[in-house]
Amino acid sequence: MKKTQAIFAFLCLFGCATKKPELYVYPSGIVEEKKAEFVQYCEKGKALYKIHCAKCHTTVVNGKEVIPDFTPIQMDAYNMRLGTIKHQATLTERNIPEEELEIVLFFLGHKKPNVPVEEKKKGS
Amino acid sequence: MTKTAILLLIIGTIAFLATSSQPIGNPDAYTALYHSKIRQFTVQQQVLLHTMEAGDLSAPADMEKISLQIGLARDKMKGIDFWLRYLDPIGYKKINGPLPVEWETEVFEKFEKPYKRIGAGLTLAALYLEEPVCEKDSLLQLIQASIAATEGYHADSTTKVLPDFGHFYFCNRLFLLNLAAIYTTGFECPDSERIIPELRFMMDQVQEIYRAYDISFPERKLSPDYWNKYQEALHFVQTQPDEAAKFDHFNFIRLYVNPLFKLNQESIRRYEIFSGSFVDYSLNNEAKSIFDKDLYFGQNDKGLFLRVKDPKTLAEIEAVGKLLFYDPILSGNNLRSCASCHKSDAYFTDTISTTALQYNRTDHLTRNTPSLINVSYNHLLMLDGNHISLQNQAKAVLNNPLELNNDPSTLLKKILSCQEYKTAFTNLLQETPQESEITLSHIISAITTYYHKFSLSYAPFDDAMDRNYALSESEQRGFNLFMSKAQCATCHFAPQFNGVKPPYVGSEFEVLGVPADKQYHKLSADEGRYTVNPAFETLHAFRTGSLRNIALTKPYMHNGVFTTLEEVIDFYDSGGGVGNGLQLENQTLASDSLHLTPLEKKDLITFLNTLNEKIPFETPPAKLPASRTKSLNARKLGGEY
Repeated sequence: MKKTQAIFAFLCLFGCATKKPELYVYPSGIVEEKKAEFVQYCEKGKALYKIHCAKCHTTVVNGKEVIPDFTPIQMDAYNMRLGTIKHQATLTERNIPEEELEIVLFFLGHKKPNVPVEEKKKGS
Repeated sequence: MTKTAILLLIIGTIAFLATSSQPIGNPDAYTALYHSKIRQFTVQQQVLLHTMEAGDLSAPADMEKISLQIGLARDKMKGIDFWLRYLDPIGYKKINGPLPVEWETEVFEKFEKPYKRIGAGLTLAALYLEEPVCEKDSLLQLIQASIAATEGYHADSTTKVLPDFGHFYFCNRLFLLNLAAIYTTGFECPDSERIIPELRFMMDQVQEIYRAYDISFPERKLSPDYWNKYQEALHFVQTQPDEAAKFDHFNFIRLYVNPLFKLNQESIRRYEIFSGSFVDYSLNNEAKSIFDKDLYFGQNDKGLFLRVKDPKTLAEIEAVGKLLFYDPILSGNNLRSCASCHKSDAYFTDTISTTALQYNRTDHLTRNTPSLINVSYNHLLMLDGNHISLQNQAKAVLNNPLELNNDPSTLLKKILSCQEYKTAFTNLLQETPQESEITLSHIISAITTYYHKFSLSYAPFDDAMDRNYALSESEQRGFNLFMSKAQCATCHFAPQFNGVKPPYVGSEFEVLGVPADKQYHKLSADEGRYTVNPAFETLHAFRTGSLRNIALTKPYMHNGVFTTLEEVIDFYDSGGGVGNGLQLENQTLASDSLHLTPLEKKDLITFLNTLNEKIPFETPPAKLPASRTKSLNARKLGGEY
């Protein structure tokens, strides 16, 4: 009995490890061959997010770093380099050039939304 | 007993809060002045509109009346230019509209498809009035649009910033920059006799704005130093001659405008205010002078390496960038390098060839090699403004079949076949965590980082503005002519003397009618900006270049047709292409003569020589990195042609 449980648990873990959960929401109609490129671009955005935004925006929930879901209005404001007073000092062309800002916003726009903690509990 | 105590405590608290939170003075004085001045401007424009409606455009007496009213309305406009220009720059284009060729080149528009923004307002009305055929309806429309735009300045979306003191220092910054770059030059002022009187009037009216501001924001008052300097500036302007050509532009900027700018920047930093307005998009709060190279941000010169601050790493990037700059491995046939055309012993341009050789080694390119010095202070790159970043521009040269003619799929492999490059960029990869491998962007970023460092030097003119360096009489006269009679400064704006004017968010283009040959047989066939954005106004339009180092970077104009500064000045003095008999309908340069005397021309050139920067140039690298591919090791440092 215990053995089967252990094998089952192992298989579960193994399954999780091989089938990586999708981190991004693919645009509708994306062709299979372009998916890797799409993910690579998002990953670049994520790396830039870590450089430029994570210091203030990333929160730690249950010991895990969580990138918040920004609203479309927030993202529009960042795109125009506005936002809060603080952004007016930091979100400048000097600090983050147009090309990089574009990639960060692309990443944020295609990142899978976070699952609220309560729902996660219910689900598990 | 307790009840009374509580009551007293409450009253006491209220009284305390009332006195502590309420600043002494009248918080509404500033906003009230704003609305009242905008209303006065509207009323004056309505009077103008009625005069136009009632007038007969063929009767000289009526035309005189209209001109007079335009002048009165202009005064009111100038009196509030301080606010108008900053608070709603889009609306402002309806009040003091841009000339048609200036409509599409701002930095915010470079990311979208250019669209046509029709200007309106008083300057265009004054110019239109001079046209041989002047339709009354069109004239009225220019003013009606201006009145409608003026009303917009009462809207909440515009006035919501007024109760906060911060915007004031940004309005003032733009005002001071314009004092240095455009207000005294006749830019937007077709009648040269009005320039100095308008300036006096404007500075006087701004003083009124300052006073109201101090009443409303007593805790964030203008400093006594600022007030003193401003009074001195006002006195200076009042005692100067009426004629713009006799006005001492040099000392006005050096002794008053630039020091005022410094003080205003200090306030911005002291109060830690940051602007949310796109007017301040590229301006730097840290700049200590108008002639600081860091005044505004044009281009990201370091590309992917923009976050590198460590001097040692920066030196490594520059070193590898330098090698690449001289390495013909960057061309399809391994025979040409960046240095083939951008010669480091000639200010990174080619002062010998009119236009450089094409890749095929027989034909020539159509445009003169531009100097790489100070290119970073442009928003749009190349003479036709085809590129918005140094990265894109470099990529285009690498792939252009007429220039370096690379096969993009093998270029990177070729470069990385050299161990020295591979090691350098592998080490640098940690500086760009967003990139998982070495890309062409790394290569280009190193090159732009390398050549930008030669753009950080200053010229004697900057030293005269910022430090205690004295310019000679002739040099000062030359600058004063540059700013007035010679009309150079209406296109070449301080501090870079290029086509980027305050608030430094756009690059301007002009149609000059440059000939194909010195004898003016025909117009140069180059369509310029038209190739990028076709429109009647952009045909033969070219981006205004910087005049820094101009005396050392011949030949001149987009096609290198002129070889001396004397020839260039003669070209402008005689009214450009049209002035020399060429057919061109959209020339933006006035086609009549400037009537410059030989001495004046000499003074102008003497002044232009004060813009020669003291750049510490370097000798080329000793040798090129060796490649694993043997055949590549025969390549010659700097290339063969």
